[in-house]
Amino acid sequence: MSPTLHPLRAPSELWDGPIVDVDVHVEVPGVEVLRPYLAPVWRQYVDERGWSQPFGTFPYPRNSPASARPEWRPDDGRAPASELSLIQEHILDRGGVEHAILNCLFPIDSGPPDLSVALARAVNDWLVAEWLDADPRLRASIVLPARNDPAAVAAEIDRVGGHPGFVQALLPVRSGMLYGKRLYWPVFEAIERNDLVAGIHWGGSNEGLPPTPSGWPTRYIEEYVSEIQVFESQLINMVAEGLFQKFPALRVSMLEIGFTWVPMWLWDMDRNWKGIRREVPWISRPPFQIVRDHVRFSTAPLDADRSEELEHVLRWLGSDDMVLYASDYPHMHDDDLTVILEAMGEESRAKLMADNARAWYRLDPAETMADGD
Amino acid sequence: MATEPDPPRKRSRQGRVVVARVSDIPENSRLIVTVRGREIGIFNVAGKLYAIGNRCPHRGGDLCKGDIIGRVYAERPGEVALDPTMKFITCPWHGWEFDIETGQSWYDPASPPPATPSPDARHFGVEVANGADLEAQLAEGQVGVVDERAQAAYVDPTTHRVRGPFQADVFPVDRDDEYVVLTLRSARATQR
Amino acid sequence: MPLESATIDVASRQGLEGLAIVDCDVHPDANADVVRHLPERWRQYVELTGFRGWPTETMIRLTNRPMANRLDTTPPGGGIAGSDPDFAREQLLDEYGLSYAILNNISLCSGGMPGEFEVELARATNDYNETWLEADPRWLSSINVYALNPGASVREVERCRMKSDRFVQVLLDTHLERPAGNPVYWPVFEAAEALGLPVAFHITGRSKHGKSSGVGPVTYYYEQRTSLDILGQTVVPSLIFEGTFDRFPKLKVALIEMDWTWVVPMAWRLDATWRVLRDEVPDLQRKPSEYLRDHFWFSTQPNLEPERPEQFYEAYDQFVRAGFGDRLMFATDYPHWDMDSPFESTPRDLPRESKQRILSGNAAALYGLDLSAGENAL
Repeated sequence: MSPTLHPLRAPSELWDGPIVDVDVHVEVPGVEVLRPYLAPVWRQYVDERGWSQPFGTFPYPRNSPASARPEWRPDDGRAPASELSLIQEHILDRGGVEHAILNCLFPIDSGPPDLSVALARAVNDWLVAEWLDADPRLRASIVLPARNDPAAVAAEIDRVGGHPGFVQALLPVRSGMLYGKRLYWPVFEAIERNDLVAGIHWGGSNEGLPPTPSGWPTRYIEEYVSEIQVFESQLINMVAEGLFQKFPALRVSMLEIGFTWVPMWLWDMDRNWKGIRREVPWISRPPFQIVRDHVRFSTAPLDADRSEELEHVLRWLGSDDMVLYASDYPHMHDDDLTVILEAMGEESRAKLMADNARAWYRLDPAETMADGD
Repeated sequence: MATEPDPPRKRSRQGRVVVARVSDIPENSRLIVTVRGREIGIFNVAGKLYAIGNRCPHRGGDLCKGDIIGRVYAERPGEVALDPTMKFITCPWHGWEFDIETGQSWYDPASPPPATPSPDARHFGVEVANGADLEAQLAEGQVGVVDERAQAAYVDPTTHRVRGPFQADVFPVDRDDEYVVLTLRSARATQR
Repeated sequence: MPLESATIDVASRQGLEGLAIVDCDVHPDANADVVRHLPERWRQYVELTGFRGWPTETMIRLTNRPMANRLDTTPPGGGIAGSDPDFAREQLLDEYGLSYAILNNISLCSGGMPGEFEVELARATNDYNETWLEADPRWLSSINVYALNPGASVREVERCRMKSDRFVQVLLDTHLERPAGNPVYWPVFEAAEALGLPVAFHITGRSKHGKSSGVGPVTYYYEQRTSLDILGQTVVPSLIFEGTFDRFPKLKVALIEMDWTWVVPMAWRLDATWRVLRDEVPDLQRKPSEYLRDHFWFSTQPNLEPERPEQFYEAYDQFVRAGFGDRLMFATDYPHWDMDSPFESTPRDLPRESKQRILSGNAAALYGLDLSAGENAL
């Protein structure tokens, strides 16, 4: 690891108030942990094929530095973030953390529908039994089956959405078809019905399409840097399609893409809407205001490394409700939390570190506070 | 007549100016007149007259050369409808919509001012007056007359460019004819 | 003053008196005329099969405006906006007193067509643009190339430069099938660098990929129209991480009509990501943001209109602090509907020196233009 990267520091070293971490990853170490939750026909499927992982585009190459901080890679070869004890040790028990929201990027968003439904059920049941029920500080996102059967996606949301531990439905950003499109309405109806947040997160199969308008990036680093434009396309499509007028209570989080790109993008959206309004006439107020009400962004990756420059971006956002602290465990970013704590200003730090997330995800007041180690 | 009537004062205390004959602006046409250096578009939309300044408050485009359209609205996606009674003049540049009656810019209908002040187009009071009444008003200085050297032109609805020049032949007024009178004092929309 | 033109009087030039103006983005648009410059075999092809790759939706625009043009730019003799260089001279060059305007003919690049046709089409477009160069000395032009045939592209660049040194840059589509830095294009970059010509990127009006995003097709023109800076955000990482600027250290790239407000956050993200992932690109000689700062130019279109006027200055100042003050170039985007007059879109309270750089200085430096003639001689 380059010596110029910021060393790992627990947020509790820099902030002594409560913490809610809205983006903590859980990795399914292999299908063997899911077997107990699979129906017999799918156990036979798995066994016959010697199948251990879904075939999908992993957004995190196993050995890439971005995939895990060295401190978060177990020495004994266990996969990072694959066991509750690891997350307790690295995140929950570090002091100040009231809640963490688990996002499991198990890549089943594409492929045979019935298989992906079975896998989604198994992952969600596993999350409930071995994570949510095991540690009251945890909350989680529902893992969804393949999007090519929107009714099945809605059914899975309805099946588990009532569990108080599920606060969000995870929608991988590379969805091959933009999420504002009307064929997704059954999914958002279910999300609204269950009072969940729609969490748009890095990852997804993109249904085999290239992740840029001009073909395939050739390097992971190139893809990673230009990923902002994937989220930008999703955001403007959701606004343009009137998703927030069709579902007026809808909450959307955009996760693991930072937020320094947001004000400029929204200025562009406002400017063009003023003249093009009649093509999208359900938008009856400036898109920036719609996004202020309906969308939140997590802090990691921060990208900015100077608080005096980041201050401008935060001021242009025009609201201190919009940014939510995330560690993005176990992924590595060269983030320095002090940069955003300073840029945020003293009065707003509690919102950044906990209050915004509590409000957004309807979290209970802290039931237990883990002791610092 | 033995003598030419005195040319009327160009200005009146109320800022009222005779700019054209009503017959010069038939239904679905529009005329851009220049009054005291200011270009004003007079529109005849379904028999009613409107007057809007020919400068878009956004970035200065020639507003009065744009399309006139009804109001497109929708509560939600899938429910798009047209309100034909509300007419907008749209700027030929960036397409902003302005209520042709009040000049109010429409892009922000949900938020009332002054929270989001939206730049409105200038609109002007426009009235129809008959020649007989105008004769008296002209004599008393209650109304002026547009300078006959001022440029005016029609807007071609297909090319959106002007056809002209049009000579405003309004003095002396004909007692039997009807005239378009503009009120030039600034008339920002007062009602939302 | 005839009603035909906008009333540009002394008052509206306030604050910009004596400043030369160079327009970096004008769009001629003349199908029939370009087709006339094609060899007979391909003229017949257009008759027979047309531009198959041209998605029909590109005709549907704001209030049904053909080709996304400002409504009052139709030439008096008929035809569509951008098809008459004499009218364009009147409505643009003379109207705003421009020193130069650069033609980016984006109307006939489509993709999904026979390769030889694409090559001939690029040549025909450049021959058509030459008729504009002949019509007025203030017009300059890009050189269209079919970049997926790099050999033919290099020959075309050389052919155009032999014709005139008023062909000032090489123009590539943002929506090619491979991202901008792909080595398949490197012969084109090599030729451009050797000739001292910038390479420009611009979205083309009829690309068959024109409605694509990174997540499949968009639905509304509103999205398509707003997505221009997305193109910049894919061109930049590709060019940088492919090592293009280590191979071609003198190469200059102009991103036209992709605005500029995404540049500083992109610089942050480039370096933050590289600090973590640099082992994947061990041959990269410099920090990625350094390439962004040293090799790229940007245009003012689409114009920045933040929520509050003072935010323009804040964003611009941040851009300048990050080292990009000599990189922003004014563009009208005539005759498109979103074009802006230089007098209406240059913020009044910018320091005069900044206005000078944006309105002409930066472009003059990039393209080697002589601003000493004309009504606004410096």
